[in-house]
Amino acid sequence: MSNLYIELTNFTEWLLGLVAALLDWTKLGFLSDFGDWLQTAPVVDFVSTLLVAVIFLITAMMFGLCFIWQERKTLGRFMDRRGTQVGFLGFFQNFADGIKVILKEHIVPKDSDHLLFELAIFAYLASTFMLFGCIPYSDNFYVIDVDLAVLLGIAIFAFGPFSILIGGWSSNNKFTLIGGMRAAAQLIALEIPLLLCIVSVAVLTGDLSFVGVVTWQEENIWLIVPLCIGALTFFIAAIGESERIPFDLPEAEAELVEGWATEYGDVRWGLQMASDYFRAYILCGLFTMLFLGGWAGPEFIWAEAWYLSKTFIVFFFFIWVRAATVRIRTDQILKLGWRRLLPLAVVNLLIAVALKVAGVF
Amino acid sequence: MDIDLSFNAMTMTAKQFGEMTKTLVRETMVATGGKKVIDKITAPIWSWGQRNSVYPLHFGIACCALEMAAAGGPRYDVERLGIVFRSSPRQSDVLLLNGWISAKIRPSLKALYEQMPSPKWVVAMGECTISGGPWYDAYNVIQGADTFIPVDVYVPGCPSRPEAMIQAFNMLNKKLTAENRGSFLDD
Amino acid sequence: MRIEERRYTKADHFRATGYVLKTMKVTFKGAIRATKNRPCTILYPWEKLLYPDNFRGRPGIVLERCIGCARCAKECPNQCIEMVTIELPDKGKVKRPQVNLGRCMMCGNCAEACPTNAMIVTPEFELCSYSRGGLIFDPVKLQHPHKAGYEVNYSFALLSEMNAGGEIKTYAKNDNSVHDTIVLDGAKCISCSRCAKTCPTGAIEMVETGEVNPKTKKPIKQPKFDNTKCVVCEQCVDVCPKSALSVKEVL
Repeated sequence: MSNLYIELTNFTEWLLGLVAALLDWTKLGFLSDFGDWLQTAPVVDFVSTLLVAVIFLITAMMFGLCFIWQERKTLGRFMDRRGTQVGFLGFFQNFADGIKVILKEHIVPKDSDHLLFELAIFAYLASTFMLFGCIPYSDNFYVIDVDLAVLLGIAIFAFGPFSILIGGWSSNNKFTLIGGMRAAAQLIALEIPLLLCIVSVAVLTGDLSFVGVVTWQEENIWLIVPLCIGALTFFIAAIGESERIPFDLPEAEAELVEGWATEYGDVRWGLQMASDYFRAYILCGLFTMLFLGGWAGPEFIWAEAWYLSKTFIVFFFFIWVRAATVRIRTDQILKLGWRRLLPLAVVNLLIAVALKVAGVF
Repeated sequence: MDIDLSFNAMTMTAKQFGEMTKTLVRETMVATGGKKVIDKITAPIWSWGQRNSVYPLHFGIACCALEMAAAGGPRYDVERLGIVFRSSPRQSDVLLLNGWISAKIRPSLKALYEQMPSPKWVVAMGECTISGGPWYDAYNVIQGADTFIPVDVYVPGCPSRPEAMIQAFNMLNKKLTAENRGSFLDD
Repeated sequence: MRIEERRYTKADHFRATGYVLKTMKVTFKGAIRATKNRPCTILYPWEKLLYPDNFRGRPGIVLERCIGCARCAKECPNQCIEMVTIELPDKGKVKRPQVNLGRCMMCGNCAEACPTNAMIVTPEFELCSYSRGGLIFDPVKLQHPHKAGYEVNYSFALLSEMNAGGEIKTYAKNDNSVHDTIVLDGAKCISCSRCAKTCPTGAIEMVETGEVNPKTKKPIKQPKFDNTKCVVCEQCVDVCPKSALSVKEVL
């Protein structure tokens, strides 16, 4: 149980006790019974879990928005210009975007498959927000500690190409269809090296939960040292999985007019753009957890702050690659995924197995 | 109040029920003065959001498009004002017209304008979009964009300087702030 | 060498890595430079660039100098200048230029053609407007404070002098001795004096030719052109009902 959960359970008990006391004060029989029911364990559990989820989601989304801010400002400096300047240092740009996007008209293309059109984007957004729940920020600040959290995260992440394909097809637009197919091919190709790197980490640590992996790294060594090839492969595959430059042909402007999400216009599109960055944030978070020691670090700042700082630094490298490289063609991306990254990931797995068998770790 | 209260619940479809509820809510809010209060509170927020995040459509027709691109460059960075060029009309607010509009591209531009979700605006950049410019006697050039779509701001110049384009977006911000007063519940 | 003939060696496969790393190094250096010093962005509208005096923004006019010759209207490539009648306190009702900035190309041809340097180019370009009508600048609105750098002057040489060889003389724009002249076809002239009335500089004087009209017994007058005052605005040529006047170019 995380500290967050314990604190919030105490808070919920106090709150529900207050509500029950208020209902008692009215001296009506059925209201007092209702107040008593409110204080039973299942209700307290339910309300506190709900509060934990809401608070965690809001916190994670705020930090996710910080990633968008970081990208815009840092990309600006790479290009010798200032980034956004809306609000204090540009922090309020995301809120302005959000407000504007809410006020827009909702347009559905005429001959599109209306149900799938709405469901596809909903599935994409839902899979991104579900992932926030899987990734803890530290020992004490998480929603739930699943034993197979890493696998669960990648599994939910892999739902993305499915919804991209459906969204691209259901828009009744041949360019979104092509964009969706290209995106699905690219994401499937780049997931295999990702998974193999995770397997190599699991071989060494023997544990697929985040807490286990980070604890192992705290005791032994940050996994980027023995598994450097794996870290590099994971890094390149992560850039490709979040469809950033140099792998962003599925949403290239001159080619495909924004790719699979061309026909989505309002809140759906706003949240889709945000969730593209959230997916990049989650992959950076995975990289930090698996290779950079997660929240391990000296005690002078909070563990959550260590985790976030490392993730921001990894994302800086994502942005640096974006500023420096050019977009490569789809067949070159697929060739990279299948013919270059996959052998590297296998080599990395062999190194991990050799290290484990030799008893080094 | 202007509501027809003689409905028959059994013969209404879901859509009619939705319409009736919307009308009821709107009329109640107007009558009790609640709409005014909410307008006063939300109009500044809506305006702030809309003017700090204007997304023009990246549709360059001719020479003024290069000035639009220069405005997005490092020297006159427009991203610091919240302006991000989007390629899809569904995702943009402003149709930024630059370059002469030939009769061949006029139907495409009209289609692009209609594909943009409201609220939307049009900025006519450069002499050719204001009035046909140097091609005032050409058979194939439309003499001004406002002959087929409503234009909100005109930017003279041949080509308009990037600073003039930024001034146009400032004027557009003033216009949309004024348009937003009294806009709650207007859909 | 065609693409198919080139053999890819192992070194070629690793070349891409070198390209990526090199671009990353270059980009990083740029980012450090942009963070240590300020970026090259100009925060318009809070910071503005300084423009040179001859920067071609909108045209302006110095009303005191304008003589209403309409050479600017003739020279404008977009036909955006129209001569409108305004009331001036000292000169009464006169025609002065009105510029439609919605069509003006800001080429400066009007300032170049103006014989008195009344039309000037100004560095004003922040002219956005909510309506097309707001972009029509009548002569009073077109005024702009005058600086010496706003005038457009040029100097020219004559082709005949260049072909003759020897030293080439250059003349200034408003040189009164070297410009096209107006030539009268005496047979067509009917002495209506419209040319003398239209001339904005008063360069035409109706003088007696020595002949006498047989019917009215009055001397026949024909226009005489004072070339030092003529600015070749060609208003006399346009207004002559018998097309008796033509322009003789100086070459």
